[in-house]
Parts: sequence; structure tokens; C-alpha cells
Amino acid sequence: MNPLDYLRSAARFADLEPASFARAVRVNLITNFTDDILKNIFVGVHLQHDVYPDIRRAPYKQYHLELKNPASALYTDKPDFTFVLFDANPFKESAFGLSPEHFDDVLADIEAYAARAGGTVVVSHFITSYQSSYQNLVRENPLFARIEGYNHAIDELAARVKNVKAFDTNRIVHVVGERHVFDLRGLYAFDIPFTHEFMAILAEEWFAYVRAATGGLKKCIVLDLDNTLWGGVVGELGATGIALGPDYPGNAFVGFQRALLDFHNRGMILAVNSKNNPEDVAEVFAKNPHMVLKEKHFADIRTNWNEKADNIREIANELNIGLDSMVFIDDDPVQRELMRLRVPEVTVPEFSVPPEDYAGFLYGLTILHQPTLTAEDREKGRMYAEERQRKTVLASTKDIASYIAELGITMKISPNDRALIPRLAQLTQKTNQCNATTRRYTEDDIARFMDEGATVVAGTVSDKFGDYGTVILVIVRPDMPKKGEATLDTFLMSCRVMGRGIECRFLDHIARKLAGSGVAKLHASFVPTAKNKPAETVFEDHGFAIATATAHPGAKVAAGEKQYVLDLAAYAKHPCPKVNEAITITK
Amino acid sequence: METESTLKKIFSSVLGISETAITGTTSPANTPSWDSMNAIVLITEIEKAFGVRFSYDEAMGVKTFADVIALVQSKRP
Repeated sequence: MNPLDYLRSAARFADLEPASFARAVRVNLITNFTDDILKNIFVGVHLQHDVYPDIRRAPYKQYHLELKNPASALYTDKPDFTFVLFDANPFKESAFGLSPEHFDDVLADIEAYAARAGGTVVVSHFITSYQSSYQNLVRENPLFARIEGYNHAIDELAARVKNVKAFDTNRIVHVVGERHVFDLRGLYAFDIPFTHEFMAILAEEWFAYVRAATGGLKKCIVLDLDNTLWGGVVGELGATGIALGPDYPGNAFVGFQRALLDFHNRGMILAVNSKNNPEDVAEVFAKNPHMVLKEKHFADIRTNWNEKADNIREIANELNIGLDSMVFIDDDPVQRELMRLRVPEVTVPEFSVPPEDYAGFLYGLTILHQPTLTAEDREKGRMYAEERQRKTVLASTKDIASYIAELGITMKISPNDRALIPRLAQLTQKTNQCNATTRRYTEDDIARFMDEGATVVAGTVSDKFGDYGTVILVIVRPDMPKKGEATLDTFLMSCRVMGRGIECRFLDHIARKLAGSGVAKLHASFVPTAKNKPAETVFEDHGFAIATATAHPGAKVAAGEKQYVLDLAAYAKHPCPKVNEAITITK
Repeated sequence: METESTLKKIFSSVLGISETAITGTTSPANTPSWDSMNAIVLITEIEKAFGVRFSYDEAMGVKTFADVIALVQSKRP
């Protein structure tokens, strides 16, 4: 979006009520330049995404003092996010440009700050400017080498400290070019070194961290076919007549498909939503040798003459994912507008570029950013595609219990496994449907649970068709007022394994373990959200009794929250009858 | 007229006031959001919209919305 659009939203900020937004976040901004405009643009980006930002800043040029001052509001107001950007450019002297000691000092302060203030601390790389008196001999320039060293140190800090993330500022600079990044009059006249356009892109990319932590990650790209995946209309040109192949513009569509395949390999689910005769499309998959994307790469294919709005709802149902985790790509402006009107939850980018820009358009789509990539992510696209094969087995099997038995499901139980922390944090951030309490946690939070004696148990599931990865999680808190009791702080399961009795087998295992370790009563609660209906009855189904009061006297109870308790002594004698022993538990 | 309506759009966006509230006499004195920071944003956005460039003195010499219209028109062929 245009920076002016963000500034327009931000100009009304003073009149807005935090309560009228889906979420509110506390954000700290730490820079070494005049950052008022950057702040306003960043406010605008938040508001555009229905998030109310409460932004605090270090006073101008006082970042190094504020970082050393634990009484500063930057610390005391407990930020959810901190964004750091320091500039050291070849046009104006700066403390960072002159003194590596200053950098070392500030970076050490940031490390201390991250530990004390908490939240996610995003430290942006310094821009490595390729402009200097060394001209073509860029790497001979001591400032260039120094700044590369700074960025390396930022990466090391991020690798060492869980709640610090390194942000690759130079990715933006590479894509848009230094001339579009620096505003030299702004730098000399006002100490604002950057163009509004650069600040808008930076703010959008920073916001991806906020979106990720608030459950707004995109999981699925839904694609039109004619003039999107290939050129021309297959119904008129035939399976081998469409523009797709070694010559322009067919090679541009091949390039776009390769980009989509890369996204798929990185974990994005692909689906098709198009108005075509299904036979025509099947023929393209079967006969056109230039199709990079095969049927096996798609988790769902809807080619029919129904409304695309209806199709996309069915895809969401079929894949068990939220409409707001889907991105719809269609070259036809009318279809895009219809989708925006009828299914506003779906993100519909303005895909009005020529075919040669299709791949680049996708690469530049900030809404697809993820803060980290886990091993599961890389496998996810494939796992959803395997699911289609499983459904074929289900169609030919009579009842669900024997289907589950036929799948040969194995579940590996991992208690307090620190290697899984990134994935477990991600599960709490991304799981919306089968999630009893929908509490979002960072990697730091999960580590803290383990440190504080909670039992964090994950289940990693596979069956004869493939691996689902780590998909189910409980966090059991022992910090109860009464001895011999425990609480399920979190119970969640990825939607891709719903309907297999896995949650039942898992809860059964947890209940027996707890009973064996002397816990007599297990408390749980269900906090309703717009999305977690699938988890509504999970505790009743497993024999939990409805409790009248919360296990923690004085604990905050959410609207509509339901309390449960399971008597573990009784459970040991009469376990849940629905537990399917055909699911094998391993260590 | 076209110059004026484009300028009104920019002023309205940056200052958070409605286009109809902007007149020739709109000025930093009677518009609280027209502060020094937004003055910088306005200069940059106006230069970009019209493909022109103001000198520092020209930009700092602006006292009212009418001055801005006159300044932009003086720069255009």
C-alpha cells in the first residue's frame, strides 16, 4: 500500500478506541534517527490489519540512555514487540559508523533489554550501502566491512537469545534499490534518512511478526487456472494449446508455477478454484508436459461452474483451515472483487500484473511471511496432498474405527523436549480450531513452562501414508493451590489430524501418566472463540465432569469459559471407552 | 482546480481533516495537526505527486493552503 494510505489511517488514531479492534499490542520502537513518520506509518499498518498499536519510543537520540535505564517506560510497560533499526549510512557521520565500541555497547544493552523487557525483540540489520568513495571496490571500504560485522553480530544474538529475531533489512534494499531507500534531503534537513515508500515496506514487513504471533499466518494459496496458472482459456485452446512452455509468454507461466512449487515445498498448501470443465483441466494435468505443478501438489481441486465464493468455503472445510488463512490469486478483477465482497475473511491481493511479473508478485507478498520455518512447515504442503489419498481409503472403508486401524497410526510422545520448542510455540500461535484455550505462546514462554516445572507433552504422529509431524500438545501446570492437582493450561491439536481419535488416545495417555505420578485431579477449561467449536466437547467426550468453579481461586475467567475436572483415581479404573488402542504409542 | 483537488487529498490524508474543511486560509495556526513533522510529510508527498521540487526556503515560506497552491502552480509548466 501507498504510505499516504497508512498516514491517512494514522491521522485518525487519536479518535480510536482500542476496544473496537480485534487485538491490541504494545510496541516499542528504538531507532537513532527522527522516527515520527516511521511511527505514524507503522501505526497505519497496524490499523489496516485491525490491530490497535500502543507505541512507545526512546526520545530522539536517547536510545543508548533509555536502554540502560530499567525505569524507562520501554521496560516498565512490558512490550509485546520491540522493533530496532539503527542507520549508519555513507552520507552522514553517526556513532555506529564511527565506533564499533558503540555498537558492541548498544548490542549488549539490547541483549539485557530483551531479557528484562520480554516480548519479541526484532533487531533490524544495518543497511549495507554500496555507495562510497571506494566506488567499485566496495569490499575495501572499512565502513562496509564494519557494518557487515554488525549484521553478523545481530544474527549471532538472535541465534543465542530466543526472543530476539534478526530482521533482514537489506532484502528490502536489494529489491527496491538504495536510490529508493535513502532520502538525502530528509537525512540532512530533518535526520529522516528514509523515503516514505521504504518506511512503508519496512513497517509492513515488521508487522509480519505481529501477525504471526496473533494467529494471522497464511497457510493456503488458492489459485485460478486460465490466465493465472497458464495463458489463455483451456476450454478454447485445449490442453496443449494453452500458453505454457519454452516460449514467451508460456515460459513466464512456467516460472510462476515454479515459484508456486517453491512455496509448496516451503510448506504452503496449494488449492485450485476455477470455472472450467473438470475434464479439460484433468486433460491438462495428464497431457501437457510443461505443467510444473502436478495434481499431487494440490490439497484440493475445485474446477466447476459454481461461485468461487462457495468453492473456497468448501476448500476451507475440506482442509480444515480458516478462511482467514487463505490467499486467493486470480487474474480476473471481477472475480477478485466478488471474493472480497462475499468472503471478506479471504485475503485477495491485487493480482493485476503481466505474466512476467507473476512470480515476482508472489515473492513480494508480505502477507505470506513467516517468522521462522520449522521442519513441519517444509513438509506441510506434501502432508495435505497425502491427505487426499487417505480420503480415498476412507471412501472405500465402512466404519471409522476400522479406518483408523487400517491407517496404522503411530504417536511418539515427547515430554519436555527442548528441540521441539520452535514447533510447539508455532502450534500455539497457529492452531485456531482444535484449541481448548487458544493461548498464544512464544518460544520463550514454552521454555519458561519447562523451566518452571510444567509438563509440556507433544505428540508426533505418522501413519502408513506419511508423517503428520508434531501435531498435538498439552501443557500441564502443577502450580495448584491443592497438592495432588494439576491443570491443563493448553490442549490443542492441529486440524490436519482431526477425526482420527488421536486426541482421545493422547489424553488417555496423559491422564494415566499423571495418575501414575500421584495427581488425583486434573482440571481443564474451554475458552470459546469464533473458531474453536471443533474443540468444544473434547473434555466431555473424554469423561471430564463439568466443574462449577475455576481450579485457581481468583483466576481470571474468560467470557463463556467452561470449567472441567477429571477424577484420575476413578479414571484409572474406568478409562474413556472411546480410546482406540489401534493407535500405537511410542517413546 | 485539478491542482487544488490533488492538494486537498494530500492535506486531508496527512492532517486527518476532511477535504471540505480545507480552504485557502487553512494554516498551521488554525490546524493543530499541521505541525512541523507533518509539514515535512506534506512537502515530500506534494513533490512526489506533482513531480516538482521545492527549495528549503520555498517550503519553509508556506503560511497557508493558498500559498501551497500558488507555489505548486509556479513550478508547473
